[in-house]
Amino acid sequence: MFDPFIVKASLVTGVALGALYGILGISLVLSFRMSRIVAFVHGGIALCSAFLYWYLTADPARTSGHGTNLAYATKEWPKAPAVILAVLLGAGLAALFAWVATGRMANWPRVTVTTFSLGGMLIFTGITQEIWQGAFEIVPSPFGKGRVTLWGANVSHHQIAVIALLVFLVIVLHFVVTRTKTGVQMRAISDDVEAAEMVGVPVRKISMGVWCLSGALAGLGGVLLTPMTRLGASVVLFVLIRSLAGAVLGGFKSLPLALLGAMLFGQVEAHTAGGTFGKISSGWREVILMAVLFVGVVIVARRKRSQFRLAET
Amino acid sequence: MSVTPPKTSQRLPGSLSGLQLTPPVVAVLGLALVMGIVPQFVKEYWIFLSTAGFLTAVTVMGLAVIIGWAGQVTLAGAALLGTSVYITGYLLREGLAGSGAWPFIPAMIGGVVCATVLSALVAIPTARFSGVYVMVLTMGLQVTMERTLFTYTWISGGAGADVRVPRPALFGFEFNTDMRYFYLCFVVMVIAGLLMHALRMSRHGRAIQLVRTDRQAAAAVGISPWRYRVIAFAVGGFLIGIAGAFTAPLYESPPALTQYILFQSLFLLAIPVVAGTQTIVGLASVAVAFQILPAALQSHRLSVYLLGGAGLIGGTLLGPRGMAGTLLDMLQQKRDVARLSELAGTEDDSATPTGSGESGE
Repeated sequence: MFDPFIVKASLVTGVALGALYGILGISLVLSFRMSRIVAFVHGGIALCSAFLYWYLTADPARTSGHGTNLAYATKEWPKAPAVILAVLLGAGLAALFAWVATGRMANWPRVTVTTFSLGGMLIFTGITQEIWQGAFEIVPSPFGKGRVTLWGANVSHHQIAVIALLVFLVIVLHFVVTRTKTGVQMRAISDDVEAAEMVGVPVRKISMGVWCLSGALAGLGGVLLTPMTRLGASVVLFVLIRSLAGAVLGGFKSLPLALLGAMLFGQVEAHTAGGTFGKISSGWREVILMAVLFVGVVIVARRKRSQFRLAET
Repeated sequence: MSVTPPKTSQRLPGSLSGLQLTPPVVAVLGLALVMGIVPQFVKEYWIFLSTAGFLTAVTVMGLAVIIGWAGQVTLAGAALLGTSVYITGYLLREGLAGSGAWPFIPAMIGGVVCATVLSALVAIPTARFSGVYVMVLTMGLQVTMERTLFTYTWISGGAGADVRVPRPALFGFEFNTDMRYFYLCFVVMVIAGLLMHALRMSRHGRAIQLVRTDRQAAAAVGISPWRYRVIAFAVGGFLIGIAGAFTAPLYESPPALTQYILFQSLFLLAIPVVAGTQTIVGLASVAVAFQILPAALQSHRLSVYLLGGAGLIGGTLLGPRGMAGTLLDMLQQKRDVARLSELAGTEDDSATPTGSGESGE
């Protein structure tokens, strides 16, 4: 039988994990809805923004290598301006990427542009590794260090704030996408760029705007996710993959579904790791998560194929 | 009309007098000369790196079949390579409790079969989906392998493990020095390239490429797109498996699992994207360059992420024919221009006597 204490604690942990994956998940869905590509580049953007935020806010005494000549001379700024700068950096880097992806590559095959975004991710990761080689740092939270116990799980103020912010962002962005003129124009571009252009939609302007917004969200994601993990290229990339899995489970279709997908993924991970189903080794946990992703992709891809066939008939 | 006499300088004397010095012949002779002489004068470190480069070239040939011919982007290249490396290494290992060391060929078959089956298994359900979903799933496979098989120390050896993977002995000949292994891996690369060329020219190779170009047309002429995509993945996995099997004894101990993580997959993906998949020689050259460049530029602290990223971005911007294809196009264009101007010159020469008369009228 399931231990109710473990189940409750795993549920709370699952929501926190889902929030962690959901942050980048919504930026991935936004850019996918705009350009029909998987924006791996957001992983690199999140990493750049997270590094900038850490560099501006961290206490030099708490960085690795402190007391040696290898220590990082971080700046100890207040958190708010650092968050704003990190978000702006995210928007700027996304604009740079979008300038090529929505300009020269506007009509290129989507897989090619997705490969291009993988290159963008590697370049941005490479830049951070050139500047802060080998850094694997603890990042201070913009919401302080406080913690509370919820249903037997120890939850930080940061995690609660992230969940609240995520739900708020999803509601606002979902409203913008579904109920405003800009949202309709976005969907028109997503369905058919040429047709949208013919009916007078300012394609380049809207595309750049959405890419900047998704880049800003990726930047914010980097700032918010690293205090829950640590700051390092492999960590951010790992979270990006989980976020991607959540977005895929949501069918890349809508922001609430992406959040739901991320939460589902978070729940599966929390329950398999937390011991709801007994002790499962880390290797088998990965296999289970891969199986969930696999089933999700098969369902989503099949549904898309049948919708396409229906549209053809 | 004047007849141009054959250029005597284009013919070799003696027994090779029938051999014309066409560009491919010159390339083969030059390569043989370079391979025979240069390794005798460079440090062992560069010999080792070049050997790794040849094996990277074989890996990339496998990726080229999946990416270039079948048009599917796989992000599990490093996972397949690592699987073959660790399985072959495990079977070759000496002094392992409960198992004796296997001879090289059966161990190699073990590694290659695992990589081929794994690649085909991913392809079976995904071959019907669009490229983006294949990317996501192969990425999932990569992460799963990183966190399962590669972390089991009884297979991968673990950090600082005192286990030895011996260099192979084939047909009574020991490849126990870096130089001998260098030549063995070069031969493996050439054979893999020839195999790839033969497959591309074959009915099955053309079918794989037709499926990428026009799925519906392929289905209309009786070619199953699903079947040929699975075949492409299996062939790709097979070539990557071969590369992995020869990589296992290269290091003489199990390599660190950081060599087979997702970033490495992206680095490997960058090579066919940069080189293009039109020419096998171009693919192999770029692969060797990608292996050697980070070490050559070590003093500049060049990050492999930057190199891989620049490769992916540059390669996608160059288009599907990649760097090698673009260079070939430029050479062809130059040749065409030269031929056209030559023809125009000949026409002018033959037209001059009558032309002057006409102009006089």
